[in-house]
Amino acid sequence: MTRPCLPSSAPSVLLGLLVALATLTANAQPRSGRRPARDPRAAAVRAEIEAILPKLRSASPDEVREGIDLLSALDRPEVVPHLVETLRAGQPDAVTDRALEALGALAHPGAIEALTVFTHHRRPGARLRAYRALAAISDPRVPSLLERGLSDSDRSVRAAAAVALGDIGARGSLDVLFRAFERGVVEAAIAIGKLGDARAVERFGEHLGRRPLGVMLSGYGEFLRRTDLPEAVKLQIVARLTEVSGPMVRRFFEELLATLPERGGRLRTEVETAIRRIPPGPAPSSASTPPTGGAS
Amino acid sequence: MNRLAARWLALLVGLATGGCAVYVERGAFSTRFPDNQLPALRAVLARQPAPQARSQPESGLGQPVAFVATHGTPRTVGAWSLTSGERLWTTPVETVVRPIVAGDLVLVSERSDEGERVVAIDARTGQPRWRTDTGALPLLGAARGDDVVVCVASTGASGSGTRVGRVWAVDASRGSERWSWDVQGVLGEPAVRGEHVFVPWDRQSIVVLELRTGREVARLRLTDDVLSFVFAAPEGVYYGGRGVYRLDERSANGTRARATYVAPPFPAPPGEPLLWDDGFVPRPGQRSARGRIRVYFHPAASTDTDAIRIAGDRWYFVYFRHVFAFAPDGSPRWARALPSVIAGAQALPEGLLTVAEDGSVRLLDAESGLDRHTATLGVEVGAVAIDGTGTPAGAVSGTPPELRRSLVELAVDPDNRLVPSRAYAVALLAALPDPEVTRDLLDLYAQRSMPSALRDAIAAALRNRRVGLEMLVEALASRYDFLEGTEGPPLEIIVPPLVENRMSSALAGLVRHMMDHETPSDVLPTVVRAVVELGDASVVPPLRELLRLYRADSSFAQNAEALTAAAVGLYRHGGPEGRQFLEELVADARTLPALAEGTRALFDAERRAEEARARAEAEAAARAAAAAAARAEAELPRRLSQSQINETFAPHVEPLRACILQELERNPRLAQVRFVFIVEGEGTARDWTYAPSSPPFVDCVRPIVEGLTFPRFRDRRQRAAVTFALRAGSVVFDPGAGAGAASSGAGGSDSVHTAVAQPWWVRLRGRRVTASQVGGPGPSVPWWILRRVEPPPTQPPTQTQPRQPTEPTRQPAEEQPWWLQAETSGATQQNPPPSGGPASSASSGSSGAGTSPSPTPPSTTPPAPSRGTPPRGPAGGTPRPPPTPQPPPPPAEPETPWWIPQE
Repeated sequence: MTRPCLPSSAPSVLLGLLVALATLTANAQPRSGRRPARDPRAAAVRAEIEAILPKLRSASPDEVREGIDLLSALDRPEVVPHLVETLRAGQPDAVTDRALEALGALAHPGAIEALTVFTHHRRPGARLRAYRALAAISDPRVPSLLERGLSDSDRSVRAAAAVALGDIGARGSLDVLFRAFERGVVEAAIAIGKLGDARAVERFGEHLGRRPLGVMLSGYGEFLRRTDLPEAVKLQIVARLTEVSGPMVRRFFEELLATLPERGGRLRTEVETAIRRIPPGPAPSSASTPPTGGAS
Repeated sequence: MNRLAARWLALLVGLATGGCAVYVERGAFSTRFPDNQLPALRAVLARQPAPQARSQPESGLGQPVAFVATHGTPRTVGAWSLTSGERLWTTPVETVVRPIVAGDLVLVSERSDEGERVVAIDARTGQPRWRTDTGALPLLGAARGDDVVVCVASTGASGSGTRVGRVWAVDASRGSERWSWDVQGVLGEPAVRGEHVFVPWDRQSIVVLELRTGREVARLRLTDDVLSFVFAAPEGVYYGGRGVYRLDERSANGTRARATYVAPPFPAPPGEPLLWDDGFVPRPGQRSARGRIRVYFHPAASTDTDAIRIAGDRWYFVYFRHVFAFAPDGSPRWARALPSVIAGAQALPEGLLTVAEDGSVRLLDAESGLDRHTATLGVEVGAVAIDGTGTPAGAVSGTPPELRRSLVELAVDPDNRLVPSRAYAVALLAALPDPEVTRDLLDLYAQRSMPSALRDAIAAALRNRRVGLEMLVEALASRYDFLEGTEGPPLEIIVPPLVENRMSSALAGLVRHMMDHETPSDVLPTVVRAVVELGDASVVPPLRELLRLYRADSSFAQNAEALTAAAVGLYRHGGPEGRQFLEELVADARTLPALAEGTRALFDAERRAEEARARAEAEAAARAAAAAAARAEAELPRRLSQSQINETFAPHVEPLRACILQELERNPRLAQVRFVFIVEGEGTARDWTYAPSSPPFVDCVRPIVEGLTFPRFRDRRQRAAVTFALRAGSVVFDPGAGAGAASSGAGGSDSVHTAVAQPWWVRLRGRRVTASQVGGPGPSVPWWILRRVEPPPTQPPTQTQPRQPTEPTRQPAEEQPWWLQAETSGATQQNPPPSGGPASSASSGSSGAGTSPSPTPPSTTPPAPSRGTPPRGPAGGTPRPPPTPQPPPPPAEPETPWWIPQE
C-alpha cells in the first residue's frame, strides 16, 4: 500500500503546530514553588521529540524521512540519540542519507560513534556523507577518522576526506595528505594549500611538472589566498608559476589578481608583472579551467 | 579324347581362376604376415648385439657435435662442436627436415622438382656425398646400419587422404638403392640395430626387415596402445608413444601389461608430450613448436628383464624453455627456466644436454639442474640433431636453488606463452609439503599480472592443500588500503580451504572482512557463510549488525545472498533472541524482499521439519500402539477358563445370594442355581439362560448378571455356565470346577478365589468338609443355616478317631434334592479326613467357615482313592453309592456331574 505523498509544506506546518502545542502545554503547567523549576524549552523539545518519534518508527520511508527533517529542524542535541537509533535500525538508502546529513547538520559529538560505523558502510554514498558529517563535528577524534577516509577504495570518499581535512584545519594530517596526493588524490592539493606552511609549499612544489597543472594550481590558489602565510612564500609561488608560464597560469594569475586588494603590495605587483610576462594564449576551453576545489 | 580335353580345360580354368585367388606372398608389409610370433621374434633377438652403454658419439667424429639447420638467411646446415662451440663446417642447404645423424653421414632433405630429395652430407667435411629421391614423399627419417642407410618417406599420418609410404635402403657410400618397398599405409622413422631394420607402420605395427635384403622376418603389433616411435640404441631397441617398451620376447604379447614397459612416473604434464619425437610426422628443419614440448630420457643398459632403467635416474620434461627434472619415483627434483627456447636436447647420464634457439649449449646437472657445461654456438638454431655423448661434464658451481623457489620462479615467468608450464609449476609447488608453499601460492595469486588460467590453477592448488593453513589465517590480517597500496587478501581462495579444514582460528579475521566494506560483494557471501560455519554464539552480534545495517540498503538489492547467509547464521547461533530478531526482520516492510523471502524460508523449513518430525512421531506411536495391541491380542487366552468366569462373578455373589435366598423361600427344594450364557470375544455376555427360570428369580438376577463384562479372549464367542449348588440348606457358589469353597456366608468372594486355585477334587472334598461344617454353631452362622433345622450330632467326630458310619440324615426325603440325599448318605459312610489332610487344607483356604466346628451334620471325608488317578466320582473320589430309585440318572456325561459347568 502506498502512502499518499504529503505536500512539501506539510512538515513545516506540522512542525509549527507541534511547537505551538508544546508551548501551550508548557505554559499551561502550574508553577509550584515546592517543585524545582524546569527549563520550559527543554520540556517543549522533549514533547516535540515524543511527538515526532512515531514517525521515526514508521514503516514508511517517507514518514521516517519527514521525522528526520522535523528532528533536524529542532536543532537540539537531544535529537541526536533518536537520529542515531533510527540510523542504526537499518533504513533504505534515502532515509540513511537523510539521517547522516541531519547528523552532520547537528554537528554533535554524540553522533561520532554512529558516524564512524557508517564510514565502513558498503555504499560509497553513505560513507561519503558519514565523512562529511564527521567533518562538521568539532572533536579531537575527527581528524584521525577523516584520515582513514583517504584509504578508502572509492575516489569520491577519498576526495571528501581530503577536502574535509583541509576544511577543519587538521594541520597534523599534512603528511597523510601529502601521501594521498602522491597516490593520486588530487583533492589533497586543496587541503595542502589550506594547511601547509612554507616547507609544505616547497614540498608541494616538487610535484610541479609531475602532476597536472590544474591540480597544482588548485593547491597554489589556496596557498596564495591565505593570510597567515608570509608574503615571501607567496612571492616564491608566483615566481615559480611564472617560470612555468602558459595560458593556464596566466588565467590563474588573472583570477588571483581579481581577489587581491587594489593596494595589495608587492604580491599584487608581482602578479601583475607575471601576467604581463606571460603571453596570452588561445582562448581556453572549458575543460582546461583549473579546478578550484571544494573550498573555493 | 573328349574326356582328356575336358580334364585339361578344367585344369586350365582352375589355374586361371584359382591363381587369381591364391595369395602371392610379398617380401614385406603383407597384410597376411603373422604378427606377434614368438619364434620369429626370438630369431630376431638372437641376432641382436648384446646391450651396452653408449660410450662414444654416434657420428664417429670423435667429439660431441650438434648438427644444426640454421635459422634465418641464408639457411645452412652445419656441424658445431658441443665442447667448444666451434663451427666445424657448414653447407648451404635449405633442409626441409631436421638433420639426421647416420654414422659418418648427416642426412637432410631439400626440395626438388619431384618433390623432395635426400642429401647425404659427409659428417666430417660437410660435403654432400650423394642424393636420392624420396618418391615425392616427405622424408620422415633414416637410420644407418653398417654400409647401408635405410630411409623412410611417407604421408598421411595427419589424416590426409593419401596414406602411402616408402622404405628403401641405399648404399652408404654411393647412394645406390639396395632394396625398397612401397607400402599402403603410413610409415614411421626407421631404426637399425644389428642386422635388422625396424619400421613402424600405421601406428600399430613394427615391421622387422633384414638389413641386407629387406625381407620381413618378424612383425610386432600393439593391440592396446598407439605406436609413435621406434629407436635403436646400443642399449637395445625401444618403441612406444606416451610410454616406452623395450623389444624383448615379451613384446610378442602385443599388450602393454605383459610387455616390458615404463611410463613417466611424474604428474601428467601439459601438452601430452611424447617420450620421443613422433616418427610418423616429418621433423621440421626450421623453427617450429613441434618437438618443443617433450619428455627426455635415455634407457640405461641393463640386464634386468622385467623393467626399463633410466640413465641417470632422471626424467626430464621440457616445455619450450622450462625444464623439469623428476626422480624415478615421480617426485620433482629441480626446475629451471632457460633464457631461450630449447631447440633440441639429449638426456645423458650426467644430465640434460640442451641446445637453445639462441645457440647456447648447456649441460644441466641431473642432480641440481645447475650448469655443468656451457658453450655458445654463435648461431641462431632452427633445428638441431644432437650427438652429445661425451660432452664434458664439469663440476657444478654454486648452490642449487631450493626446488620451491625454482618453481615459484617458473610460475612468475612473465612469458604468457608458457602459462601451461607455469600452471604445471604451480601444481608441483602445491604438492610440496613445505608449509611456506601456502604463502608462496598466496603471493602468486596476489600478483596482478597473473593470467586467469594460472589464478585458477593456484586456487585449485590452495584448495587441495592441507598443510600451511595457518598462512591462510595470517593472510586474513591484511586488508585493502589505498594509501598504503595494500590489497585485500584473496578471500575467494582463502576462505574455502579454511572452512573445509574447520580452521576456527580464522574466525576473527573472517568477521573483520565480513564487516569491511572493502570486501568485494561477490566474495562476501562466501565470507559470511564461513563465519556461520566456523562460528558459534560469538558471531551473533556482528551478524545481527550486518543484517540491521543492510537489511533495507540498496547495496544488497540485487543480490541478498550475503544477508541471507547472515540470517542463517543468526537463526543457527542466535537462540530465541536471534529468532525474534529475524521474525521482526521478516515482518518489517522495509526489509529487502529477497532477504525477507530467504529468512521466511528458514522458518518455513523449520515448520516443515517439525511437522515431519511430529508426523514421524505420531506414526511411530501408532506403530508402537499397533504392535502393543497385536502383542496384547496374542497374549489373550483363546477361551475363558472357568476361573476367569468365576472371577467375573465373584464381586456379584452377594447380590445374587439375596436373589437365591428369595428363590429358596419360594422354592425350598431348589437344589442349584445355574446360569448359562454366551460370552463374546470382547467380553460381553448374551443369551442368558437361568435355572430356575421363575420370573421373580430371573427378574432379580438379570440386572446383576447381564451387565457383567468378562475378560477378552481370542475366540469369537464361547458358551459358559455358572452354578450355585444349594444343598442341605446351603448356597454354594459352585462354578462347576469346585463350588464347595464358596459356602461361607461371610467371605464368599474370597472363597471363590481359593476354590479356583485348587483341583476340582480337592475342592469337592473341601465342599464336602464345608458341607459337614455348615450346620455347626459358631459366631458366624451362615445365612443358610437359618433355613435348616438340623439335629445336633450325637457323637461329634474327632480327628483321631474316625467316625463310624451313622444313620443317614434324618431330614425328610421329600425335603432334600436327590443328589443331596445321595451325597449325604454317601458322606455319612465315609471316615472323616485325617488332620492336616487335603480336606483340612481346602477348608482352611475358605474364609473362616472351615475353621469353625461343625456340629451337624457330621463331617465326612472322602477316603483315599483306590487308584493312582484322581477320583472321578461325583463325590470327589467316593465310590458312587448303589443307585437308588429316587435320583434320576445323570443327564450328561456319566462320569461328570451334570452341574459341573461345561465350557
